[in-house]
Amino acid sequence: MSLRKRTLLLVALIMLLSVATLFVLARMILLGSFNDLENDDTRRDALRVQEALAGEFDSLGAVVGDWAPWTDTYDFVRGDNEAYIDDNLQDYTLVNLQVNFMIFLDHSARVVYAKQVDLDSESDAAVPPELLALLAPDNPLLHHDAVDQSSMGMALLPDAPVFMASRPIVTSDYASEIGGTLVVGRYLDATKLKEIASKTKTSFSLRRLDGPALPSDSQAALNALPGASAIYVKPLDNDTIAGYFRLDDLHGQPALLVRVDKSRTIFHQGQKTLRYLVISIILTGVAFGAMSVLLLETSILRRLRIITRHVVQIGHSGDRTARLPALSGKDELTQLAGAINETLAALEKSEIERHRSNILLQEIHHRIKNSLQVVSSLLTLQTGRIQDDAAVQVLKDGQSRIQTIALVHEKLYSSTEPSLVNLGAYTESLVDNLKRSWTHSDAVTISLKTDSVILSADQAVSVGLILNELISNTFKHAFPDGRPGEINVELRDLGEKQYLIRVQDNGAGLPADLNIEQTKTLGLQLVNGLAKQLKGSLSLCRDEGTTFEVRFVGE
Amino acid sequence: MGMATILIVEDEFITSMALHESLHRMGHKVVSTVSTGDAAVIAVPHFQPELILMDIFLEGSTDGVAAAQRIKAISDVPVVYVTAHTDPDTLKRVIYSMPYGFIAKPFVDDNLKDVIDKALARYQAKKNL
Repeated sequence: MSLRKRTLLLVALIMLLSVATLFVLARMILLGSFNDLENDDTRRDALRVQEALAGEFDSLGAVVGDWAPWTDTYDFVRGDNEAYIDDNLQDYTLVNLQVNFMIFLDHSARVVYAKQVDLDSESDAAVPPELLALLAPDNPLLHHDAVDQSSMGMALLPDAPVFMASRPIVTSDYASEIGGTLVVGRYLDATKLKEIASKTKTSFSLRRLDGPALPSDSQAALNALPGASAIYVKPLDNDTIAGYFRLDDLHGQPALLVRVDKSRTIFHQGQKTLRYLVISIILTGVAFGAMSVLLLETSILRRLRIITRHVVQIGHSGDRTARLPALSGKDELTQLAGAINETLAALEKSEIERHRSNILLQEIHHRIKNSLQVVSSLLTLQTGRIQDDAAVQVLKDGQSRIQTIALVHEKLYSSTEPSLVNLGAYTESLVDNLKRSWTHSDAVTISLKTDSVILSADQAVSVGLILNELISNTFKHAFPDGRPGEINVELRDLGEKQYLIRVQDNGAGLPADLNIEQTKTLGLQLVNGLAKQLKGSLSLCRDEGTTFEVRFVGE
Repeated sequence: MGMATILIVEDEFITSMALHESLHRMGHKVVSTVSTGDAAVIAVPHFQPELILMDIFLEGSTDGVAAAQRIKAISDVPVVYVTAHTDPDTLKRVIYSMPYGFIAKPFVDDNLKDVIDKALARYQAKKNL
């Protein structure tokens, strides 16, 4: 995978992980905060409704506090003020006081007078019998520990819940005994609820606890509420959250569940904020990734491509003098280019030195071959001054051996590895030379089969001399008097560094008494000795001509 | 192959002497032996040899291949190189000059005879065309 792809993948992975982590953290922190805020806001709304309802009790308390400790009222309940009703208890009186009813009871809890108005129509209305039945002597509203004590409570009437306040009726100077009780009340009817909702700027509803089964959310809230004044907040769905509180009746029994509904704008705002945040993070991540890739491209990849292109070009051209161009900046890539240039310079230097060594080697080989030529020439000159044919042959043999050795130097030079010789090519040249020297007619043919054998120069000289002696001997002795025949020369690689030289002919054969171990001829002595030098063995087979075999081990 | 007049260009005395005797034994006549390329160029019109045996690395500024090129401009005499240099660069130059033969040092008379005979035959064949 290319560096660019890997980086892109890595940046994408980091971005994905970062976005995921930030999203989870932001969700936890941000939405948690927004949830707290929403809860507090809903709780505040519920508290406002709670306070508004409490304010109703305060208003009722103020009315009874004004009317009960009044001598006229005291006289009225004792039956001594007949004009009281006409003077004070008109419909408009209750309308002005914003109470639905006023009930006057004497000291034995008997209703002396009860009046009710409909606040919507501002007209007189009948006092419901359930209300009067409520004011039994055991009603806590009718029992007071002190003359200036007001009592308040709520009760559920069939039509509506009612808030009530009561106070002992005494003279204006509180000097009298308690003459009775004044009870005033206000129904929590639709008008009142609307008024409270408008005043508190909330939306709320009431659930009677004496009615049919509550909806599941209300029942759950009721179960979760620890006390009468506690507020419980719970989201209803994605759009609405509700705050709940309980209202107990005048006997302290749970009577009403108030549910204040609120639109979840804060929650939605939180979600919107979170969405914007995630989009911002993604955009930032993409920008960061793009910038990283751009930086990578301009600072590294582009320059790396320049280096790669030039290195490949130099590699293909083989021009050791070529160098990488100077890269801008001063960083690791510049150092790399510098190091490559230093390596190229070192390679060039080494190439020059190798070339010089080659030239020197050529010169050495040239001198060796020239010297061998001088020796060969001296033998030629000597040959011209000798009349004895045998002596001439000895000198010619010497020349042939010199040529055999010189040929190794030629093949050594030609070889890419200066100390090794390709024996196959060497043997071909050698046999070619010998063929040229010895075959003056087409009567004797020589064939060669070679494997590719690479040997050291020392071993090659030994092998060459062995072949020279054996082939020369064959030419000399195997085909007397122009007798036709064949010479087969083989050089075989037997594997595991085992090699075989075979010179076989179908000629006259060797003398029967010839012992190759004990022979006095120089040629065979050389073959024997060189075979041993090669750590090999010489064998002779006399079936159908003569076959010499030398098996040896390569170094 | 019959007798030929031969010019030897060789700066190594013993080698040139041996060449001289060998050629003589083969029935050829050595018209002159020179040791520089420049001398060879001068000797050709003078001796009109039928074959030149040319060493490649010679004394002086003109080597055997350069001398052969200059001789080619004035004569069609066949040139046979005799050299110990068998490195690729030298061989390339030798091949480029299209010689009639090439003998690697050290050589024996049989090699020498073989190459000279073939060179003379080729030259003769070319002339007969």
